[in-house]
Amino acid sequence: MEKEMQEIAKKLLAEKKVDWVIGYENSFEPGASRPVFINKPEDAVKLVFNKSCVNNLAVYLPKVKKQKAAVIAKGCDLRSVREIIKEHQILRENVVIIGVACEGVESSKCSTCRENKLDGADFTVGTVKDLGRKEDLSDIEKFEKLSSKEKEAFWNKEFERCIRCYACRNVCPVCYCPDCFANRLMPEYLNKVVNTAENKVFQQIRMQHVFGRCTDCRACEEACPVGIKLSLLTKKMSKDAKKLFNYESGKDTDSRPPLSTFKVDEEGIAEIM
Amino acid sequence: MPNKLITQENLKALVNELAASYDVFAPKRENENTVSFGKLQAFEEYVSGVLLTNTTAKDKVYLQSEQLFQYELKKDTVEFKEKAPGKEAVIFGGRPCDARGFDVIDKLFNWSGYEDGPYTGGRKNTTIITVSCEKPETTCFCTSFAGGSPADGKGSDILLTPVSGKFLAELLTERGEKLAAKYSKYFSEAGEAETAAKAEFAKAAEAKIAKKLDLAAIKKNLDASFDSFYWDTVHLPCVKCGACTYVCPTCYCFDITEKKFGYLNGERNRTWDSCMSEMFTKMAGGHNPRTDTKRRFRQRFMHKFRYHVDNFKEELCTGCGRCIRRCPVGIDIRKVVEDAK
Repeated sequence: MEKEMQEIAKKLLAEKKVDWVIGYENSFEPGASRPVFINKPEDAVKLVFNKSCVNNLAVYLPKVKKQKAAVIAKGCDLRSVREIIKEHQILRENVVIIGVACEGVESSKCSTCRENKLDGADFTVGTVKDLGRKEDLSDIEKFEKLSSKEKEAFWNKEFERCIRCYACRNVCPVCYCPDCFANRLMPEYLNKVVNTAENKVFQQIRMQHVFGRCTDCRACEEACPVGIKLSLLTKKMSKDAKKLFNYESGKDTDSRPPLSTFKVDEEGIAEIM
Repeated sequence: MPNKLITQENLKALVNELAASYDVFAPKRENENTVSFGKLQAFEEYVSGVLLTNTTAKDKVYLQSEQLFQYELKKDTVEFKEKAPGKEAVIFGGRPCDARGFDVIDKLFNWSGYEDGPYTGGRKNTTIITVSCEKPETTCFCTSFAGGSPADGKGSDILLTPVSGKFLAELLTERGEKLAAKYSKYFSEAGEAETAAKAEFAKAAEAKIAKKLDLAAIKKNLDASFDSFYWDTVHLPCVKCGACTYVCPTCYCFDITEKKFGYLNGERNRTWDSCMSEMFTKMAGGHNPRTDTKRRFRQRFMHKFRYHVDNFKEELCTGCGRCIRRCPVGIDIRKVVEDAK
């Protein structure tokens, strides 16, 4: 599988079809990997794919938008690629998608993965198998049943740890605003003082910004250096977007994200009013 | 000062007694995959098996958000209120690389005859009890630095090293001696055998650290590589969050901001800042000398292994490897500086 991937990358670079191939390379210890940018055909041998390839490489695409890039994408990452194509952050013709048949990486999302299909990829590496995994919303449903006070106590404990390094924001493929509200000084939405209250404001606004665009890829949770359980929020948002607007982020490249349109009779909304 | 010995049981009793009268910060489990320095109520909460906590102990002395003063405008005067000094604290169970971090930034906060009040105040109030590392991780590289070792006492007040089922307690500073004298009932005298066993322990632990940086060569290469093409591509995988700088035991950059409560009163705060952030160098007029991500990325490594060496004759790094582990995209500081040319 790696060999096939390397050959595709080498050919794309040698034929100058792309400026960059964004993939994974071996990292600091056996079994660890990290994102790599390759621009020479002879460096394509560095590319690897294994269980540690957790990163969602779609995050890099808006940054190379003036150049052409090939990206290694798992089924779940492909959803983010489609979402940012939809949001005009990259042009489809500037991206070559090398889809890899993934059977799961070391991520919390993989046990319920139903997204390993590679529809719309330019190349497919490996054979996509039906993993037979089922959606499991039990954790969200359990959380929804808590009282407001219990929920608040839980999140206070989580966000007390937050160091506001903004890793969650910076690894998020749909958090591409060049001028983030969190950095603004005039008006100042967020004070630089790091405390539970300010930390919660930051994540609340971020989550609201990515509602209906977030693909629940878990990049934010995996990046968090203090292990804040952000997947509870992203999974809940995916569930609500489906329930309220029958919308699934990253399913295609042309439907409108629900909060960017307006319908007089929104079918899902009445019931929560 | 002769070395002391302390048994496992006595250590437990000591920490419990300390927790009653001091703020004791020690590696504590936050959730299934997070261990950070938290306030200990009892010894049982201390997680001894973890080498690298998610964050450092730095924030217990050099607070992430420090209130410098509060002000209130009165009729013809301004009233200032300063924060009352905090409770005496003990940082227990940190590692030699964490403690060494304090030693490195002590010099910065006392540079050129200027003493930084909030930092040195906190430092004087804090006793650091460190535990030597038996099994270093693959990301550890403390032996690269002068005197650096998994059993090094620099920056610690008391260094505990496991020897023959007990701990050898080296009392390294006046603060450490004072604490040991106050709780002398828990300590016994150590013999030459235990001191020799510690040396053996250090040797064995050091041998387990595979990576050793050639700091002189790195400095030489960095001196010549500011304009190198190397930086054009090496930064590309970096997402420019501040995780590396905020989990670092030596990163000290800060920003000073105001928080207004109303028109006439407010507070001034010092908060950690990160060279990875675009706002870090943005000036009031809008100009930003480090606009692009390449320049910000380069700054972090240049500062740690070149500029700081020029100013302080030591690196701004203790080799804990936290930045490597916590980096969401696995940037390896050792590789970045070794490859620089």
